[in-house]
Amino acid sequence: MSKRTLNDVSTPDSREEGSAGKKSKLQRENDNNDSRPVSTQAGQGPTITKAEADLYDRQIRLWGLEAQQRMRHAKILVAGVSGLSNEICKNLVLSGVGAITIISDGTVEIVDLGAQFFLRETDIGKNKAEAIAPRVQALNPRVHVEARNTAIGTLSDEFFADFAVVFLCNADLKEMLRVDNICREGGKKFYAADTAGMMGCILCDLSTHTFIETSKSSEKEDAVTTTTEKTISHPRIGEALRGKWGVPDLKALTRQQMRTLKSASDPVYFAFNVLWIFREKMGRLPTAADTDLKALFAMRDTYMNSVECDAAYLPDDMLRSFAQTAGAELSAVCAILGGFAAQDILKVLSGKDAPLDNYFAFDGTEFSGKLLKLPPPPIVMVTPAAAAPVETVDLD
Amino acid sequence: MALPTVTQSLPDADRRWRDIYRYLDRPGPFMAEGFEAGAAVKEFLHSIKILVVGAGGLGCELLKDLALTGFTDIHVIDMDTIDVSNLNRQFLFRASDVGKAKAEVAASFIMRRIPGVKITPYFGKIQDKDEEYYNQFTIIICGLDSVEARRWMNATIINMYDEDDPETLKPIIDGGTEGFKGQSRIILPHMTACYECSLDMQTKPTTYPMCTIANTPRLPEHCIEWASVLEWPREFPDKKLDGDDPEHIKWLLDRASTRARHYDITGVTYSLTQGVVKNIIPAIASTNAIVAASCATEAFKIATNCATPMNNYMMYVGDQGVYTYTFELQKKEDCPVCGAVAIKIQVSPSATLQDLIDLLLDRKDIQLKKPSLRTSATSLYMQAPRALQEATRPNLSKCLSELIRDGEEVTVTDESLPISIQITVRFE
Repeated sequence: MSKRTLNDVSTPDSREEGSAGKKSKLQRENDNNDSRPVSTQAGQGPTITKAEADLYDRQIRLWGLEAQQRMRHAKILVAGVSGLSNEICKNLVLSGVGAITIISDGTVEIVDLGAQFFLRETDIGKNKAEAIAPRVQALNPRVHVEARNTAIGTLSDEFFADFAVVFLCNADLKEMLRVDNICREGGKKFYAADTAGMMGCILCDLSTHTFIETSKSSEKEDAVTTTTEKTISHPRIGEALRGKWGVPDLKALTRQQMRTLKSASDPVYFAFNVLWIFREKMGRLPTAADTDLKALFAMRDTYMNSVECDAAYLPDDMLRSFAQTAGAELSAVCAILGGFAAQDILKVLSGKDAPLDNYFAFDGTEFSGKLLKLPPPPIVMVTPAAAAPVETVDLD
Repeated sequence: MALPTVTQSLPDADRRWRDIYRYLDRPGPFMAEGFEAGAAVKEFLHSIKILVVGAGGLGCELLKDLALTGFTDIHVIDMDTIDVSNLNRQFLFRASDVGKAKAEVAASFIMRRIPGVKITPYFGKIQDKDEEYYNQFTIIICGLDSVEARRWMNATIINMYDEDDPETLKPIIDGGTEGFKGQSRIILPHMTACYECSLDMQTKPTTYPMCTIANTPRLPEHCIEWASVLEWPREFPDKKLDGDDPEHIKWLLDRASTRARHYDITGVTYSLTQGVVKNIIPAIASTNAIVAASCATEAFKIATNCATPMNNYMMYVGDQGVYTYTFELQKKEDCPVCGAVAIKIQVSPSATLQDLIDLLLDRKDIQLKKPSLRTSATSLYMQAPRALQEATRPNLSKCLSELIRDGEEVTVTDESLPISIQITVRFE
């Protein structure tokens, strides 16, 4: 069988190590767009080099040339280096985005090798971002991959100006809120995600996002394809996560209301919120130690109370298991979350198809994923009569 | 318990595998029945042999996840070499690897990354290996790209099962992807639905009626099919059409474009021509990552019992947001591979043997290409060897009622599949 080979070769002896930071010949080609453009049919605007068309063939057949073109020019910031961010970077770079900047102020330890595929033993002691960048770069020399040894907290607002999408991995809630606000002001798309053992979550604030959806009228040949433009509006992260549920007592709910609650929420969602509260207060993740669990349960009670949800919805057992495995990174879970997250970013960049709107809760023990719309809708409809204050009679 | 020798041989096991061990060191609320925390389950995980079938989109992701999850003795089979169009998702390969064997390059990349893991590649077909080879594995995980390959794998493994030897019961984890969609499933031979049970669920590849292709084309695909199915054999009766040869595609493009212009049809492009001829399926990194990870997680659960494995089929759709649905696919009683009961087929008394064969070719739940039929007493029609085929050919035009009794069981085989289908033929 005769196979086509790449006409232009990637950076020399780039067995695995790319050269991150400096623009390669291919990246400059990307920018100039002047080498061997493929003539596209029907006088379409965007041009892509033949080598890129060959490389991205299988995905262009899925989302089209124009979508690929939009991705090609996008700059993305990935903050935090973990199993999850390794996967996100891999999927984005393979798909051919314009540029990725990876930041972390952490140092590689041996336990990181358990789920971070792009780390090697020789990286132990190095800055995490600087360690994975060359390996991520090697996946696709056309993408400009950069690393910064810095914490997201120290970055000025101006730093974010360059990026179309900002993705925070395993970040503190405080950081998520701050960066989301910056993104809002700058018209950038904001994503955050976290994993804890077999659980994971992805949340986003796309501000106002317009996209097109195509639908065929039937499965037959002569089906008519209609394209509709839709717009969605997201709340800020703070508003999304502080939504009230209005269900302080699960036992008082009707079956219908319980079903509504179950489809609009997930224990995983509450668990992560409690986890983030613990991490913020204690500066670390919880362990299975009795003192930690006691503190965790107390935080759960306070938090659930503040959002008007019965604490019984996030039972002790589940929270204990969550705590026991909170710091554990499992390659497969990171791969799943990383896959969803990356393709959602690609959809947002391409402007095609409905993106996440606006929270995804993943439970790996049952392989169940739930899409939530936050802040939550009213579970229990409050009638005016019931809302009126009850007159108390002094019986003395 | 015997000394945990494999665990001990892994460098820095407690730190490298710290996170995995959290699920194996103590009981938890999600553990499956039969879970026993401690050194034994870790040793088991690290010492069993597993097989990954396919080193492409799913295979690369599978090898990464399985190796990082603690499996240290992994074999991988793939008959393909690396093509540039693989590089948008098969991340163990680089541009400089184009042309090399996928299984070998994948194996060497993983071994360089994860010390203590042994990946044994085989560059060849699954059909090259026999039962003895497959019997050495505890779990088999498939990342294949064709229905035929899956059927072969499914039938081979299920047929291997010997009631008296529990070691021959091999769970199969099967994953598949197409664009934004995919699925992963667990097959426990003779216990859950197997691949053959769900054969009629597979979407049929798009085929166009010959009359449309020959006389009344409306779509660019019709023009391309006309060029490849009708024109090419007419012009080059002795040359086989090669979808990977750019010259062949250019020839087809030229002919198809001319025809399209004549019928006022737009849309014939080089890309579409290639896609139609090679039946190219779009593929992206994220779907492969997700489906492979699901399979790897199931392998971890099956190997350790730390949580209940999927029961038994997970469907994933990523076009609109994210959608997954896990359900229990039912086993078919009359499944040709794992069923106990024969398939009942009704024919008219005047039907010929050829009519019966045509019926079998037509049925979506059987899908054979060149069936051979025999009863316990005699051969009805055998496709091979030549002498037997010639001897049985006259039977094709004979009435079935002349050849078999009403309600007799007929055994149907096909050389492409290691299965035999039992059918009961009734005259109505």
